[in-house]
Order: sequence, then structure tokens, then C-alpha cells
Amino acid sequence: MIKKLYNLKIVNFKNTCVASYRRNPYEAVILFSIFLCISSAVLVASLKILSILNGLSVVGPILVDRLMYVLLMIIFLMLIISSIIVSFSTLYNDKEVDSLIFLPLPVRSIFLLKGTETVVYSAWGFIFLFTPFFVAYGIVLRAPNIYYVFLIPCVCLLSLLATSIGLSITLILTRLFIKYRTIVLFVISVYGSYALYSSGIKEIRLLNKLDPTSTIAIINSLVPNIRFSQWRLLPSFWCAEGLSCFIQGSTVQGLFYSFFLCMNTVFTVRITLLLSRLLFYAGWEGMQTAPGTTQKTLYKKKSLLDCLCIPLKITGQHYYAFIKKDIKMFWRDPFQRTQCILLFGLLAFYFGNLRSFQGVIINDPIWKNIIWFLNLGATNLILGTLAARFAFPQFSLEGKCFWVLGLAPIELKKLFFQKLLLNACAALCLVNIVISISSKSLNLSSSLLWLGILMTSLMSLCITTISVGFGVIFIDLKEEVSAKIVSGMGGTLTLIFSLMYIIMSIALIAIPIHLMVTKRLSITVLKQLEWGAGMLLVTISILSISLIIRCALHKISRLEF
Amino acid sequence: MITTYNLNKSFGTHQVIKNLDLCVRKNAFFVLLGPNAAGKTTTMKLLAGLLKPDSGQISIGSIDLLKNPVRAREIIGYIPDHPFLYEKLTGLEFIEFIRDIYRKDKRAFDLNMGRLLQLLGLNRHITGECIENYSHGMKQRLIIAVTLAREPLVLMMDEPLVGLDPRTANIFKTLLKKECEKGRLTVIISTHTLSVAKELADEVGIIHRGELSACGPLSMLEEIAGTTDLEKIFLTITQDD
Repeated sequence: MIKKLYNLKIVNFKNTCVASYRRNPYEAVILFSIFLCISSAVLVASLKILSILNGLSVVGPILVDRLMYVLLMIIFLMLIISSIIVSFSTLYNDKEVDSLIFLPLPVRSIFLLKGTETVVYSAWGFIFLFTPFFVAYGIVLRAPNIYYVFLIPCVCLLSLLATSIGLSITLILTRLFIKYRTIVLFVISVYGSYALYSSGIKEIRLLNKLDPTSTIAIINSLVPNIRFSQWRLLPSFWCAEGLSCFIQGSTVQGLFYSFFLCMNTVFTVRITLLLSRLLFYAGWEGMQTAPGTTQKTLYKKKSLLDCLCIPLKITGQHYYAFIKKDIKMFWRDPFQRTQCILLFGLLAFYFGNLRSFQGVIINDPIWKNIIWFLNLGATNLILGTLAARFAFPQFSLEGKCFWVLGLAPIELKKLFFQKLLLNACAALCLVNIVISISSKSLNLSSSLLWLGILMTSLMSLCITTISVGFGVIFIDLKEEVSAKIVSGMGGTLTLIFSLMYIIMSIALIAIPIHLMVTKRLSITVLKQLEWGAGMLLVTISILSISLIIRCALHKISRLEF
Repeated sequence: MITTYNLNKSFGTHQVIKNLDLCVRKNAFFVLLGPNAAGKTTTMKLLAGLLKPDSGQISIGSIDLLKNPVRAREIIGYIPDHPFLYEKLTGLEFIEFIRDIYRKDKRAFDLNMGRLLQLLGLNRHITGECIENYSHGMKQRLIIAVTLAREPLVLMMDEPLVGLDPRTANIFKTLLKKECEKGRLTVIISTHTLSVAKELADEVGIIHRGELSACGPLSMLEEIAGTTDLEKIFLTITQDD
């Protein structure tokens, strides 16, 4: 039976691809080319960066070695979070489950089907993005062929293990804490405990014996923060260690770690399946009747949300109506709120970890400069993730109600600008708060803070436009599960384009400043270069914004319901 | 009031509507009949402006729908076959939302709304509860009430009686007939329920395989077919070659 369900999914996917190709063959070819270009670009950029890093004396090989562990740990942790978010929607908020549950199927089969869907949706983007990097890693370190043979299986096994953990967490959370409010309280208390830990107990460790401004000392001070990636009980460590062994020619050790990872993955999957048999149906049943999720929640005629929306009346009667509707729909969707809490929790983790860098800043302008740009990048990455999660699916989430908008006496392009403006305002507030708090945490000067605010403001506009614009270009009115919309092709492309824009923008400004700080450039030349780089950044941003808006408006004008 | 000229619509290679010429006079009650997959819903969506024709012209109350869609939408009311609504809004919030996006006067709209809610038996149900908890019939009644409360000049409905209980269906039919007679509304509905056509229609159009096979007052169709049995007329026109 499960085979038939899988076949059904495969046929469905194939038909969607064929229909899409028949509808517009050029679009399919263009999309394929974009994916190919992105893979090539990641490969080339990774080759360049890894070669530079590897060429650095003393610290280069250490950094390259650590990079594998850190990256695999990040992938592992992000996949757990991503699969929690996705599985919460695919298992408990998908109408397909409601229909499958009434079929004469064992619950385990339904879970297996939806679990596989979760694994695919959560992991495909990561595997697609990071595989070129690991290929480049092998090329730079002149890895033998066996490394490439085991690369994809190892990354896939790690992804499967991470998503299985995510699925198990979702199963346990929904069974133990059926009430939505309890889940929220649980997540908040986890973050709260971490915040307490990071603010009170954790201490910044610096090696006193070395000159605190020396590179080695600074790397050593940073190492404790990434040392977790080398914890031997961490599955990403087994994967990284296995791949490192293959690179170094220790094939037997590499095979040992690969099989160790494989065995643990199988074990975790078995545990997840066991948990599904015990918890899935009870959780699903509980979610159908839990207050605060779908059933009988009564809202007051004038709620606090209504009062908060009152200032938005200045936008005019119908825009106010749309904005109020969007805010209410977002706030009342428990799945959106859960994602929001998880992602803002990550933000809290970020602030918590910033304290560790305070010791590094000291007075060294080079490190101050590097950390400032890293912070700028991290802030915009946070925004990029949030925009891809929440701004991208906004049009698609109108779903089958789009006919209401299609009939409204308002041009859809104005509606697009309304959504863009709303998201841009929210993004501007968020990034400026994040950059101000993080700059303060890092004890950065006010001039750097203002430059950061200026840059993030411009970048947030572009990132929001990428997300909202791509949301229209890749609109999917048939999909009701927000997590699936985000994990689809459009959502992944949004994230990739945002990432590329962030890297390009920061590199444009950072490289001249870094050359000046390292005394390879005079201040006069720097000023000219910075003006040029600034102008180039503004031009690229405006061009990107215009191009995306143009494509989105073109799509909107052809939209049918 | 509603005129289409040489209207064509295809989905991929499949042509759904072929050279549709339609003319519905002002304040008429027009019923579009047709078998399943004849193109009724596509026609209704084209007339409402939800779909864009490949070629042809649509005029609603002398406004060109394709050139001036925003103005045309102000006088169009559309009730779809499936009542998809914003599930996370309450009934009251949805009413306010519609009032605001159509920029209607609050007092007049609320007065109309109160009357319609009472007439359709919804006034007790519009509480702080989200629409997701409404039954299919309640959602359908809410759409009807909200659409009529903003006083459109043209009302298009796709299988509007599906999901309504007999009492509400009766009230609704009487209400629409009265509005047409008073000269306040032009109605076009698509259905394959012949009794509805016989009971309400001033004019009937029969669509088959995307083409308008017959159109005119019921009496005229009866005269041409030589029978007063609408079922026989329908079966004769729509029989496959």
C-alpha cells in the first residue's frame, strides 16, 4: 500500500513538471539554467575562498579543517529546526492527512509518507546548496576519489538523521503539549533558560599567555564557540570526521565513521517510526480538537490587534482593510506563530552568542572591522531567512480566497505594493533594532553603527523586494501549507538570491575598508573606492528592485483565479 | 447590461469557450444552462473578470471589463460555487473587510447587512467565531449577504443554491426575483438544475462544449423546440453527435 502512495506522489510530481513544461517551456528551461548557474557559482566561489583560506600561513589549514566541522554542524542543527517547522505543518496541518487517516491504512504508513515529504522538503535545499561547496573542498584539499563517492551518501544520511530527530521532537511536543499555548510556553522557556545561561553563567574565555591582539589568540578565543562542532557525540562530527579521513587517505577510518553514521541514522529512523506508532494518531486527534489551534476560538469585536492597527488608517480605507486582514490572518495562524517563535528564538541565540565576541574586539582595528562585517552579514542573513519564511508566501497564502482580491475594485499591482510596503516597514524596524543591539553588544563605535544602519536599511529594502517579488513570480495558490510553499523551488531561490545579494553587497564595501585597515590602501584612495563601491551598491540594489518589481507586476497582470 | 463579443478562452491546447456572443438585458434574470464541463464556470469567471479571455470583448453596464476592470468590479457581484473565505477572520471581520475594500458608506452598508443577515437567518451566528468553524451553508449565506449588501448592479452566481437549505434557497430566490423586478439588479446564474431555470429565468442560454447552442426567452426556446418540457429541449440541444 505504501508503495502505491509513493507511486502516486511520484506520478503527481511528474505530472506537475510536465504540465509546467507544457504551459511555458521557456520558463522551465530558464529555471533549470538558473539552478545550474547557482551550483556553478557556489562551486567557483567556494574554490576561490577555500584556496585563499588554505593559503594563509599557520592558521589557514586549521581554519579550512574546522570549516568542514562547523558547516556540517550548522547544516545538522538547521535541518533539525527546519524539519520541526515543516513536519508541524505536513503532519498536523495538511488536509491530505485528514483524508488519508480515513483510508484503511496503518498510521505508520501515513506517517512514513508524510515523514518522507518532510525529509524531502527540509533537506533538498541544503543538499543542493552545500554539495558544490563540499566538492570544492575536496578539490582544494586534493581528496582521493573515494571522498567524492562517499560525499553525497554521507550528507544524505546526516540530513535523514537530522530530520528524523526533528520529526521525533514534533511527535513528542504535539503529544505532550497538545494545547498550542503550552507549546509556545515550552519553546519560550527553552530560549529563556538559554538566555539566562548565556548572560549569567557562561564566561568569555581568553588565553592570557598570548598577546590578546595576535591572530592565534583571537582564533583561540573564537574556538571555544565553535568547539561544539567537534563534540564526539554530535552526528555532524561523525560525518565530518569520516569525510576528513577520506581526504587524508585513511580509508578504513573513513569507512568506519560512514558506517557509524549509517547505523545511527537507521537506529534514529527506527526510533522515530516507533514513536510515530505510539504518538502520531493521538497527536493528530488532539490537534483537531485542541483550543487555540482550529476550534471555536472566540475573538472580541475590538481586540488589542484592532487597536494596534488603528494608526494604519492613514493608508486609506481599503489599504487599511488589507493590512488589517493580513496581520490578523498571520497572527491567528498557529503554524505561522510557531515558526515566528522558533525564528525569533534563534535571534535570541544570536544575541546570546554575541557576548562571546566582546573579548575579541579589544582594540585591534582589523578584528573590529572583520567582526563588524560579520555582524552586518549575520543581521541581513537573519532578515533574509525571516523574509523568505514570512514575506515570500504572502501572496500564495491568499490561496483559494484570491477570488475575493480578484473581484475587489483595486488594481492588483497596488495590492502588491501594499504588501511590499508593509513587509519593508517591518523589515526596516527589525534590522535596525538588531543592528543597534548587536553593535552595542560588540561595543562598536557610533560611526560604524550608523554605517551599519544605512547599509542594512538599503539591503533590507532589496531583500524584502526579492522575497515579496519572488512570492508573486512563483505564486502557488493551490498549496495551503505555508511550510511547503517556503520549502518549494520559489522559496529556495528566494533564499539563494537573498544570500547572493548579501554576500555581494558586503564584499563590495568590506574589501576596500579591509585593505585600508590592513594598510594596503591609502585613505585618499579608500575614500574614492568607498564612494564608488557605495554608488555601485546603490545602483545594483535599485536595478535588482526594479527588475524584480517589473517581473512581479508582469506576473500579476497575467494572474487568473 | 452584459454583452460579450466573440469571446474565446483556452487552457493550454484545450479551447474551453468558443466565439461566445452573449447579450443579457438590464434587470433580466438570465440562466446559463449546460452539462458538466460545458464551460459554464469559465464563462462566469470571464464575465466576473477573474479569468482573462484569449480574444473577444466583454462589456458590463457599458463599461469595457478588459479596459477598465476596476470600474467594472465596483458594479459586479460574484458568488462562486465553493465558498472559499478567509478562515481565520470572524464573520464580522469579513463583513468589515468587504465594506472597506469596496469603500462603502458604513451606515448604509451596515443597515443593508443587518437586514440581509436577518433574512438569511445568519444574524445569530455572526459572533466572534472564526469562519473556519462555519458550515458550508453558513459560508454560502455569508457570501450572499455580503455581496448583496454592497448593492451591485450585476450579480453573477455559479451554482448558488448548492449547500443552501430549502428554506434559505427559497428566500434567496424570492429576494433576487424581487430585486430584478424592482429594476435594481441584473442576475446571471449558471446551473444544471433545470427546475431553477424554469422557475426563475426570463432568458435562458444553453452552453455546450464551450459554444452557446441556444439563447433567448424560455417561451421562444419552447416554440422552436415544439415542446414545453425544458428537459427535452436541454437533452436535444446537448446530445452528443
